[in-house]
This record gives sequence, structure tokens and C-alpha cells, in this order.
Amino acid sequence: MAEGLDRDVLTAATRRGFVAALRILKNRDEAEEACQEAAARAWAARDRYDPSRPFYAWYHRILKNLCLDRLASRNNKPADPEAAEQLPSEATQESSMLAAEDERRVHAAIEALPEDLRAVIELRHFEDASYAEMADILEIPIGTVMSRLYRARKTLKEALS
Amino acid sequence: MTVKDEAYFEALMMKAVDGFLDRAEAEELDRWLAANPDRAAELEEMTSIKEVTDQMRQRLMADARIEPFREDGGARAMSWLLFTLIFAGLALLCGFGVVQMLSNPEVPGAVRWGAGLATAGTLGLFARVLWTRIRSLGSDPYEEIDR
Repeated sequence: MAEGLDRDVLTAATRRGFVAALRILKNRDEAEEACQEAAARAWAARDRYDPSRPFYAWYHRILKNLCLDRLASRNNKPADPEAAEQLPSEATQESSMLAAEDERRVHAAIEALPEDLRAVIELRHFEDASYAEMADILEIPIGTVMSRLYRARKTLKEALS
Repeated sequence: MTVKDEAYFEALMMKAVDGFLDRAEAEELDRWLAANPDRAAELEEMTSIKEVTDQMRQRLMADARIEPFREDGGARAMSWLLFTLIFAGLALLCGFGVVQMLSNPEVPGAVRWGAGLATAGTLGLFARVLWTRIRSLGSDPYEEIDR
């Protein structure tokens, strides 16, 4: 077994990756399947994991590619519009209307961000990625992560105010 | 104040939003924010946005059916065994039937030719798929791919 990689680490990564998969696939069942499949692939390929790098970054790469493959297998069709509304609208079921409205606005503002800024927000806010993990995943220095995160949050703040 | 100073404190603001500040950094940031009330308001708004996304994340995670990972080698081996049995049985049945048909002079020639061609095509297709799988062994399609 690769040093530092055990089933608990993999399970934690799988849970963290769920929201990322959901945001790509826009479908809860598919996202769950993709997370589990990515875990199985990571486990099968664990001998290739470099323990000097953050594990989640490695798992995230496998998961993202798996999700992109699943998207491609839909014959490049755009996501089902009803399913695409799943993320913000779910809030209406259990939270107050005010919170639901906040979530819808924040969700729309995040979707409107440029790709590089949206990536840091999604990693930090929805996958709980550390700065080091974000740097590894995005292949940029930590200083750049911090400045992008600031720009992203500032853009979001301006969009929402 | 230089641009570098601004970037430094903006990084501290990010750590504050994420709850990563240590005591010394927190005190340093507090002093700076006291002198820059507009930045203090900015930090407050950014923290509010983070709280909203935290709620979104928790809600999405709440009913996710993510099972603890376990290596299911036994089930996978059993599946392979069952598939192998089914495949071997079908191959025997079909092979025997085709041989019987081809060697029976009472079967019309067109049927025998048809059965022969269909068998040859099936075997060729199977060999091609097998060859493709063998060639792809050892290459990981998910290895460090930039897309």
C-alpha cells in the first residue's frame, strides 16, 4: 500500500469530491457513481500515487477526468436543464426562502465567474481544498492561489452587492 | 502602502475567511483592518458569502450516498467467474451448433455459408476487441491528463 493512503483517506476524499462531481455532472446519482468509481480507480492505481503530493489533488484529477468522460459519453449534449437547476433549487426544500434566495444568487454569481476564478471558488468552497491542494490541482504557486481567491471573492462580492 | 503590502493583507483576509489565521496573523490583520474600514467591510461580506456556500455544501453533502470505500475483490472475482462460465457455455453451444450445421449436407448451402460467415465475423470482432484490450493494458487513461 502506498504510504499515507488507506481506506479512510480514500473515503474522505470521495466525500469531498462529491460536490465537485455534482457540479460537473449536474446529476446526483451519476455524481455518486463517479465518486465511487474514482475511488476504485485510485485504489487500483495506488502504487503510482506520489505521497509527497496532496492525495486529494491526485484523487480530484482522476475524478474530474472520469466526470468529463461521462459528460462526453452523453454525446456532448448539454446537461438536462431541469437537472442543472438541481444545485440551488434543492435548498428550497429544507431551508427558509431567504436562505434559498441567497443560495440561488450566490450560485448564479459563481457560474458567471471566469473559469480561472470559478475553479478556485469551487475547490475552496465546495471541496474544502487546502491552499496546497489547490496549488497542486491548478498547477500554480500558492501565492497565485491566494491572489486568485481574493479576486474571485471580490468579484462575487461585487456581483452580489 | 505598496502593492506588495496590499497583496500580503489580501492573503491574510483570505486566510481569515477560511479560518486559517494564526494568532499573530489575526492580530496583524486586525490592526490593518482598523486602519482600513472599507477593507473590514469587504472581509465581512466575503465571510458572509463563504457562510452561504458552506450551507450549500452541507446541504448537498447531507444526503449523498457515499459509502465507505472498501476493496471488493471477492465480488469482482465472483463476477468474472460467472461471466466466464456463461461465455464458455455459450461458446460451446454456438460452436457445436455451427459445426453440426456446416457438416450436415442436408442443410442448404446458403444457410451453411451464412452460418460460416457470421461465425467468422464474430470471432474476428472478438479477437479485435481482445487485442485492443491487451494493447491498452498498462496505460492509465487517467494519468496526469490536461484537458
